[in-house]
Amino acid sequence: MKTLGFGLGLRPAHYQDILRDRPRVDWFEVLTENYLVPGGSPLHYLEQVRREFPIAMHGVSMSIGSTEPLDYGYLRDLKQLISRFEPTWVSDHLCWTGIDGHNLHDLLPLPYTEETVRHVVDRILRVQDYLGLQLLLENVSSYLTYKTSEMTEWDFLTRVADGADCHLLLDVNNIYVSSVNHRFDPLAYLAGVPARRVRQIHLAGHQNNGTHIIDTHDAPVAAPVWDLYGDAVRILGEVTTMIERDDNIPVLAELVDELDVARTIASQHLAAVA
Amino acid sequence: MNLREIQVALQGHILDQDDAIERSVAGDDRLSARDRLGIYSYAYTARLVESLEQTYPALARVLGKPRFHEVAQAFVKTRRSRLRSIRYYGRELADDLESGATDTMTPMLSDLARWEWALAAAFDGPDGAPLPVSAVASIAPVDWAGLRLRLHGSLQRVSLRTNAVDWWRSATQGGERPQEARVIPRMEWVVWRVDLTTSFRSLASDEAWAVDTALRGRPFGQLCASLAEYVGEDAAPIRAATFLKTWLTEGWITGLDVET
Repeated sequence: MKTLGFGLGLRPAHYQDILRDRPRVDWFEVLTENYLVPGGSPLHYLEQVRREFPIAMHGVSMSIGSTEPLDYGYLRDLKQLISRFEPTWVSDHLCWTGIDGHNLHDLLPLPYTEETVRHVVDRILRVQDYLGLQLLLENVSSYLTYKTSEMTEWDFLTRVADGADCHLLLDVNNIYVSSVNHRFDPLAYLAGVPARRVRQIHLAGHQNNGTHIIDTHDAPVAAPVWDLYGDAVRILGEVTTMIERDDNIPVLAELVDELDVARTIASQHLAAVA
Repeated sequence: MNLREIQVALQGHILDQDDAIERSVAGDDRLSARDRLGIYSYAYTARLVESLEQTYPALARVLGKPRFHEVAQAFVKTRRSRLRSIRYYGRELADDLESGATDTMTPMLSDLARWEWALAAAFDGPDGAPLPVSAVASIAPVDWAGLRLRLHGSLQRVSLRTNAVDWWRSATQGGERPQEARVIPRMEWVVWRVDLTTSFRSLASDEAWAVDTALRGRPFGQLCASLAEYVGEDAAPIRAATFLKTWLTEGWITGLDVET
């Protein structure tokens, strides 16, 4: 399958520079919820950027793992946004965000159990049916492990993706963060997920607190994550890649340079396995 | 614990510091289960406080970071989000500031929050194509009484009783900080957006009344009748026509609906 190449998250601070300079960015990932607004600047600029670049939509509110009923109001609005902007694909997170009507605005971890697999697969199937597309679901960073978990995170991811016939968005930074927080081998993770289902890779920065790592998206990609990205390319092959930066957002040129690092690493590892 | 029970317990921990989830979470030599859960509790408050800071930048500047964080954390403790997008979190901050009045600054701070909320609402409120002034030429005389004005979806009405706009200006555009937070005779404002530009201006009391009447969907004839209470029956139609022309010029009107 053809990849989109190397992309960045679309951030308001960069709208003008993107439209004026046409930077070396192959595509942009947009945060779905930022554009679920009635009008004004966000939708105006998204329209302009969309004319020049492919986009993918990345959401944080689907709460696919929640035990609440699916929010069809959200899905209806998402479907309208998809129809208007025609993203190459749509992703969200393999997590839950709240129950009883609350939104905790966080990507909360799920227990890796047979029950959860069944529950999540059923919901993904219904969402895919409603939206008329195959979703990409992303592995989240986590800071806790439930004692009830019955399988590894990568087995869980595989079971869900195979069961729902969906794609995966593999966040390599999240794999690294969780591998330190939960002491697992990140290479076993990469080798354990079904490569044919991995449609996209995320890269991002984190904050190492010594006892644990927090996924902050406020810094350049860290050296161990670059190393793991190289392993990911070696194991998974050529995969669409993007860098997420949500805080301490630097000038666009700095992120474009960082994207070049990803390009270089990917080409080196692809050449090595060729 | 099954999936539902885990979600009830973890949410209970994050929102209400309930400890039931602790026995279901594994700890290790680096971080106990409680420490690990604490990361989520901390992130919950921090994320909502950060979102309030983005919605209320002038309020944050006027209060200073430590005081703003105290105010925001108190708000987060009592106001839970049921919103799909964090962008809309914090609407009640102005009311909460007002009801928790503690000093002479409070009315101004509450107004400042109300003002910034209106600016944010106008910023990404609905789009609309303003009608040209010439649009009124097509209205037949017989249709005027039943004519309904469709106002731009981004238009916000704000009523302030302090010099909060001066504080907002000094916090966002530089310049001298007002010497005091003053209670003043109530001032009426409109905030709106044309294309991508957000504007605002104050209104005389009869114009504010007329805008509110139009926003409630009342017809032009009723708007004139309301204005008669302010300026007298003879002057009301001319005053209403003047408002209409001004509002068209300012891009507030996106539709003139004739009763059929």
